[in-house]
Amino acid sequence: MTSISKSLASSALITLITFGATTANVASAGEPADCTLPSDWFTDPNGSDIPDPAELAWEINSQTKCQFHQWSWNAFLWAMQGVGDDLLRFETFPTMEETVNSNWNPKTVREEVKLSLRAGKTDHPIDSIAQAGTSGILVAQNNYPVYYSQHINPQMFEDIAGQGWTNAAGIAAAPQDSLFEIGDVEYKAAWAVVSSEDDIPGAYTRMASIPELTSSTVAGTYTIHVPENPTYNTKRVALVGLHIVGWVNGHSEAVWASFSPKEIAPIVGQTKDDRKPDNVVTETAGPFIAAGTTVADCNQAQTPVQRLNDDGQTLKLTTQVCQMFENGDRLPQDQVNNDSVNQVNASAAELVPSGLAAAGYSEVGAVWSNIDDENEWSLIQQKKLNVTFQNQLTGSTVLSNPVIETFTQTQAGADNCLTCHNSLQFQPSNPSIDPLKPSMLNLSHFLMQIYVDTAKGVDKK
Amino acid sequence: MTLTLRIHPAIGISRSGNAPDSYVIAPETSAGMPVSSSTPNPNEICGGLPTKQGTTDYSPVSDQDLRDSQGRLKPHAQRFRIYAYDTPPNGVYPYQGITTEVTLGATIGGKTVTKIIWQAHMANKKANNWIIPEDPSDNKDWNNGVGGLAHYADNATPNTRNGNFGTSTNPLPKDPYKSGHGEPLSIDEMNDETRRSYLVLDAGPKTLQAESGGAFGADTRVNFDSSACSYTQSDGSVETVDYPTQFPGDKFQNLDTPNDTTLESLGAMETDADGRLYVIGSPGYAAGWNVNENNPGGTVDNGTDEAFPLNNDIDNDGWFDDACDGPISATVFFDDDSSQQIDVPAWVVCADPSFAPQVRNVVSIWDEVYNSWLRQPSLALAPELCTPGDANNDGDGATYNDSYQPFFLEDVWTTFRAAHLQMFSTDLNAKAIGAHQRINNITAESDPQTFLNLKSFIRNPNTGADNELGTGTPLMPLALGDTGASFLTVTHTQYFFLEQWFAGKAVPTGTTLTAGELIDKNTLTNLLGGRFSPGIDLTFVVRDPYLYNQDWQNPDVGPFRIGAKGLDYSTASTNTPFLSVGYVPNRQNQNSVEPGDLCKFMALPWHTDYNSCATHTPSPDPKNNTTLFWSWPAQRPVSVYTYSDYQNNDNEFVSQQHFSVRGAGTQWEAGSPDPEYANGPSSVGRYQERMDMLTNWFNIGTSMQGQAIEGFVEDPKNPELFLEVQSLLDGPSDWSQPWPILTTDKVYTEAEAEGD
Repeated sequence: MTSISKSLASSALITLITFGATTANVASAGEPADCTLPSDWFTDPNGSDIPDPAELAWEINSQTKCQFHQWSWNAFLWAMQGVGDDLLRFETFPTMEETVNSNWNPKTVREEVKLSLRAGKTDHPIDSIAQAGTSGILVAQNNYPVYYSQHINPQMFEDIAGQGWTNAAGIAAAPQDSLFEIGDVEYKAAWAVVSSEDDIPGAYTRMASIPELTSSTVAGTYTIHVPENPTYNTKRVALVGLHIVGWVNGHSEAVWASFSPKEIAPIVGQTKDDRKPDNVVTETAGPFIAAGTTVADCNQAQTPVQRLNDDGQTLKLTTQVCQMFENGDRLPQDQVNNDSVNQVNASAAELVPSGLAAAGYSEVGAVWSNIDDENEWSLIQQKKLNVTFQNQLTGSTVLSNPVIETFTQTQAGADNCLTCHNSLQFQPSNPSIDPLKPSMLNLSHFLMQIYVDTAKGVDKK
Repeated sequence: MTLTLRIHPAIGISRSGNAPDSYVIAPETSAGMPVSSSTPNPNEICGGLPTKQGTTDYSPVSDQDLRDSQGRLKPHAQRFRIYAYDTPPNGVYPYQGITTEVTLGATIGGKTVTKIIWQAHMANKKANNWIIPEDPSDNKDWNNGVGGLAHYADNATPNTRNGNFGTSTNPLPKDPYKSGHGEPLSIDEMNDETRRSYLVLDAGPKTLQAESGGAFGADTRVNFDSSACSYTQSDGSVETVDYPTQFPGDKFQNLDTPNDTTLESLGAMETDADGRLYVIGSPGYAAGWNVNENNPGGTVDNGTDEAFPLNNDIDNDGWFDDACDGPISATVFFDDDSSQQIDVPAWVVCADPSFAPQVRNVVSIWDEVYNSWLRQPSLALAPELCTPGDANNDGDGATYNDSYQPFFLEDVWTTFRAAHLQMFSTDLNAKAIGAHQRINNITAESDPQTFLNLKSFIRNPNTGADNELGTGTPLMPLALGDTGASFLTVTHTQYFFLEQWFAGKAVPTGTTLTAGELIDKNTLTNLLGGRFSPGIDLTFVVRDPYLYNQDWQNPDVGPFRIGAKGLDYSTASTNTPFLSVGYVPNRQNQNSVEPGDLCKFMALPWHTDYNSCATHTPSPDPKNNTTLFWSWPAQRPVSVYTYSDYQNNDNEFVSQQHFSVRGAGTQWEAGSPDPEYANGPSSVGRYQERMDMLTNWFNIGTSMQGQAIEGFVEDPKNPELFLEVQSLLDGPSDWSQPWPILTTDKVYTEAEAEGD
């Protein structure tokens, strides 16, 4: 039985609900006049009424953009709910190591999460679990680099384990019509080192272990990286970005959504006048930008001149982070989506109880395919297999989270999630590892990283 | 009995160099490909390197052979050989019989060769030619407006370089930074005698005799200058002629001469002891005339005595260079006092130097020429492979034989190999290097489905409405496209071969070419194709079936010959320019090509285009794009690994690259008034003042395989490296950044990157 038929079987048990609380005033193309979150999600100030997005993933019917943004918020709220042990729900979810070893236990009390750093020239999947691009390290204004972690929800864990995709051989052997289950969700988190809980307004903070860094000359080039057996230090970190990648009804390519604390980075306008190099982006300092930063200074990776300080933890140069596309939209052509994101964020600001960790965040945007594949393999094969989706994008079509894809926001061919996360043949950087045939599984770089890391005979160095 | 004799290569390439007395021999092997076997071996020197001067066998140069004792760059000399075809070719390509090289003392058809008289005629018509448009043609009926030929469709022509020469002292184009400048002269106007006598460099016909036991080498050298002209008559006799040779110093009194020469030579030729011909590239210089000499004999004011500015990359009014091209013919004499004139000439083009000769172009001139010869009905080279298409639209609609089995090594791996080698002339990131290394490792035994899903990564060359010419990554080649196309595509024929391989229909290898045919092919594989705006060696005219002698099935002609115009030198007179406007692309004129008609479509001077064409944004540029891509990375290396770094790192690979064009004068500074150089990353790796390239091109280093470098110690972890040697460029430089490179990225100096 393929994933589709299995999912369809389970779907029959779910009662359809009207997804989207405000549908009375319908804007053009079926879009509601005001895209809001259902108020009944928030009757309990602790968030216990927030539904499991794995279930609501079946309610997507591809009729409006608003639906996808509502679901994205649902998945975010659910992931950000406190579940005891001072952890958010997504933090208790399986990591890649636990997935590979099939040893995740929901009842296990998790040790402090060890965070990773994006290193220099590395494999593509690593790019995606760290800072996007090829060589940039995002450095906050306190000179600490930004760290990253990645999780999947329990359903996806079971899905991967059940299909035998926990190692390279299993992934390579997957039939070409393999799909992720509707309701599977990946989470990719970006963490900034902070000195107190209030450093970044609205951001959730926790203690975490971060590796000390080292620098060395690799093939004649100065490189900052994590040593093979790093020393970990405990630091307070703030959640500054969270990607939600969720598989929903009719969308085997997943919905790619991203969230950050409100106003995490100033937004640069999109006209030529707005983007004159000498324009000052902000007069106000923030956690990722200095006061008086100009457009020319935005999002510079500074790779050749970046150096590690002697403390092994901070870097000499900070990054000035700017968001180049408001809500991940090209304006004015993406105005409908822009309105939806603004409306749903306004709704969240009004409705999300202040005691929830999610209260300080807003959606940066979400992107998906404009083709409802009806969960039919023949349609998926025809329209969505072996493509980059670039001619079928909808929603936030130039979506980048400014603290996760800082350096690629205006790079043609890398200016939205699906440019890199696609269903083409997967080509690992290491030429000794065989490529993977085109597959919808290749969308998940969590899975692709498992493939690379567990490939036989690979020199991990 | 008349023999079937042909000169090979049909189209040869010499290359400029400023060393006056020495040269290297242009490669007869194919860039990046194995030379001695059908199996690639990283420890053996692959093809593409020139051959040492004075050798007749395969003797690839070392780094010590590239410059003369005074450090001057040696030009490339194209070696021409004559082959006798055992039985008259029957119009099938490749030839099925036996060929024998015709050398002094050889026995051909029962007769001994005693003497060979070579004839060459070099000219340069660049200054009296059309500009090179960079935008798509408005005529979308022709190839969707893409490619240079579209600008000549339906009897159209672009505007003309030096369009107001002889009529105005205000020759500056309205917008020097846009294509489309110049003046729309008619062909009759371009044929004006004043224009032809002032704006054309013409060395006239020169002959050179090779005789058994006679002089050879430098002792036989004939310069393509204003010295006496002569030509061979049909009976084998050599006739001197009062030919109107033309060089800039003859007409212009106050030339701007960055290289202290008024351009007095277009190169030279000499023979070896066996009678082969060596056509040596020109010195490679440029000169400009003063504004007040733009209107000879005119009635308007003289204007200033300043030289014309170098304000354009491709079309600079008021300038000459000494590139050239022309026919090579020969007459063979035998011991029975008979002789045979080879009526159908070969052709030689003098092009830019080759600074990475082993780095293969993803699309070569061979790919272009072969593609056109398959797809054009008037050429129809191999109907069993390809049924030609529409003669009036670039062969559109040609169909390939689905059962055809290409050779993996020659037809498929060549593309993979080229993709991999790009890392040695561009600054690729690790993922790209790894992916390219993988396809370089593909063998004839590999399962295609396992290695490269063709449709995912290779841009479809279809130029119709649903084309992929505007789609960047992940589609390959990741380089800038032809005139009017954002990105590069392989040719239809390359794409077909890849499709056949992917479908499991390729066979391992099968070289079936005769020696002369192989030289024809190998020579063209070393030249840049694909992006003809205008290119470096040859340009879009190679796609025009009327560039060629279409009577190729005639035993005395053969394929890939330029359609040379028969020139009656007996009519020449000293005071009248001899050559006309000549060949016009996309017409249906048979055999109309004169000396100077090929290189005239290249940049003027070539140096400014070489300088500029490192990286650019695409044209047309996809919406909101800020990413830069490479123009001609194999033929115009952008970033190189240096042997100096390698040695300094204890003979281990150093991943940091340097710009090939670097050092004093190359560093970008904010505030450049030239829009071309307004953004830092768009401007690095080149001279900030175009004039500096005219006086520094010969100092650029050459990238060559480590094994060809004297004293090279191999890095076991990286057995195949191509490292830059013999660069004479020094001084502060900008830092070479791995792709992706955005126009908004900051530019750093190498000193900053080193922590200074």
